[in-house]
Amino acid sequence: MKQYVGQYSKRFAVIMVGSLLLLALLAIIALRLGAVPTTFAQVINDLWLQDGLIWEYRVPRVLIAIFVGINMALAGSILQGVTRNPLAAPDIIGISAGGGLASVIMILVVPSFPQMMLPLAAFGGAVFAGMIVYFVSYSRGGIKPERLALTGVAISAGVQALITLLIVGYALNAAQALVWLKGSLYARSWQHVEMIWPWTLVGGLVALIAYRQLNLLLLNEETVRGLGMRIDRTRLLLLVVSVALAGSSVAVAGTIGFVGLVIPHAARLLVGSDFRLLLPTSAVLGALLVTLSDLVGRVVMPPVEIPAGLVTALLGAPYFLYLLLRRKAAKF
Amino acid sequence: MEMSRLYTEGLTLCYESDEIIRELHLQIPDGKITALVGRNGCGKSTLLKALARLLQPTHGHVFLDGQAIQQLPTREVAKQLAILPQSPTAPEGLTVEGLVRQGRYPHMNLFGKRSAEDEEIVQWALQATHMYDLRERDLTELSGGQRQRAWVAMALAQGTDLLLLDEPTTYLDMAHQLEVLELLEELNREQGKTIVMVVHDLNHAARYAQHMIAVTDGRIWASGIPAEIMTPELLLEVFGVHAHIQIEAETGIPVCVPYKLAMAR
Repeated sequence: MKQYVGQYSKRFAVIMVGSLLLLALLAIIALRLGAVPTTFAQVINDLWLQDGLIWEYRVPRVLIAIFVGINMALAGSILQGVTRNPLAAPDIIGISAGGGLASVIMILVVPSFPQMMLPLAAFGGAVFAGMIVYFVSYSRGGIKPERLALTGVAISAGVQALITLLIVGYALNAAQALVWLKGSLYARSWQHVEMIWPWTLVGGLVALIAYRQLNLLLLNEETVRGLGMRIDRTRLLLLVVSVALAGSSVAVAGTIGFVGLVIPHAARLLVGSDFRLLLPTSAVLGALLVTLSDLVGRVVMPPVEIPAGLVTALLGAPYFLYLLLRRKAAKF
Repeated sequence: MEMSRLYTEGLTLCYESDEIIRELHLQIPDGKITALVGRNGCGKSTLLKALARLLQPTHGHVFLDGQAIQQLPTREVAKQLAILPQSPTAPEGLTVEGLVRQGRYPHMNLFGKRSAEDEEIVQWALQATHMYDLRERDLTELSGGQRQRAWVAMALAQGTDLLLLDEPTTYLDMAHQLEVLELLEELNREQGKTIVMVVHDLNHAARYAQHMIAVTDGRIWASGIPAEIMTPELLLEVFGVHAHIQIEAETGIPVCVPYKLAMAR
């Protein structure tokens, strides 16, 4: 039943179970460690009563880390499949940058903008950027996947420049915007959990259903159309899902980078290219990386918190270089 | 005359603003192997794509079972007609069996549940193309002929009576070319498949096709039984070469030997 060479269903099961156990372990540690020292007894007590410091602050934070990781990793996997470009990711093709720009405008230019509405602005910015990328890469009857990746990179660069311009222009008040841009889970609450979990659910369901479409899209376009897929509609639908996944995660946690880019590759190295195995593996590894990054960021030099997005990049960048060096002899 | 399952009426095809095919009326005979022949750029591949609804006609229609093919749900078309494009590509690491399974795509529901029938057809397609023993191999590791057979197997798994192939023998050496052509002949003979293929080698077309359509400048120069239409005039007019046509004594199949390029093309 192997669809791909080097794909091990047994290995997949081991990786999934192992990662989930590790994630549970990390979550427990993350609940215990923090600025205010607590004991395990207190953790259990708070969880049981659904009250207190741990329930109010640390549980939502861990949940958000998990959901953000899942969303970013799934968004990246889907984007890489749809564009057939191994370098596609929400933070590369402008979706994250769009969310970032919208939030930075709100933080700096419109200081009266209510803090609680920031996620909405970020989500709107991400969706808007996604739409621009789509329409620019659209040509008669559908998008060209190669063009989509290139357009995204160009738009991302432009938007990043605007963000930098704003930060320079409002240098005195830029601290909050900078932390936000690095992607932080500081002071996140249950309200934020409610903003992201429905998107994670939708993304997860799509991942369960659409893996066959994603697998098929890896073949050349004429073959795919010959097999009766409405390719433009399928691509659009998948892009919408990945924009929603990335946008909702940018909305609650800022522009956390590298998860969407690196995790799909790591998953592919572990279980092969079949999206049936790739998507769940990506989701779990993404959750693991963001949870770990947030935990590391909180405990390495208290009371200062290193934003989780910075840690993912610190862990992700060397790993990505390692991947590139390893595959230098191969195609890309 | 009785209508075939696949035919065109007043078909005009354009790329950008260039007219490639002009007001074409064409019948693909059922249950036969049809060879589309012509020079590079004469429009035969474009025609094949339009026959497989991959190209929207500028005017006119392609009809499948009496209905305009562009108006049929593409998934329904995929259950009747399979197309193998020129030099198809697959991702690294995909196995032969994994590829052939993709052929069942049009038959699956949203949740991708595979029936016992799907599995049976996949196994049959692997066996019919003599790929069963290679089913767990990486597609990119196979020889050109084996790889082409794997793609044919994928098209077969679609379970269609109509099979369209765009230059299935390109980039293959002589033995591998015959390997693919004999497979197609076998499928036509034993399964009654209607096959339409674009081929470059006229002698292959004459040997394996029962019907030949010669295309030049967007129209049909001649169509019919190869032995009847393969003449020195056809070679001159359609391909721009002077050639001798000999009839092979044993088989009665015409063989062409081009010897000189015609001056004006």
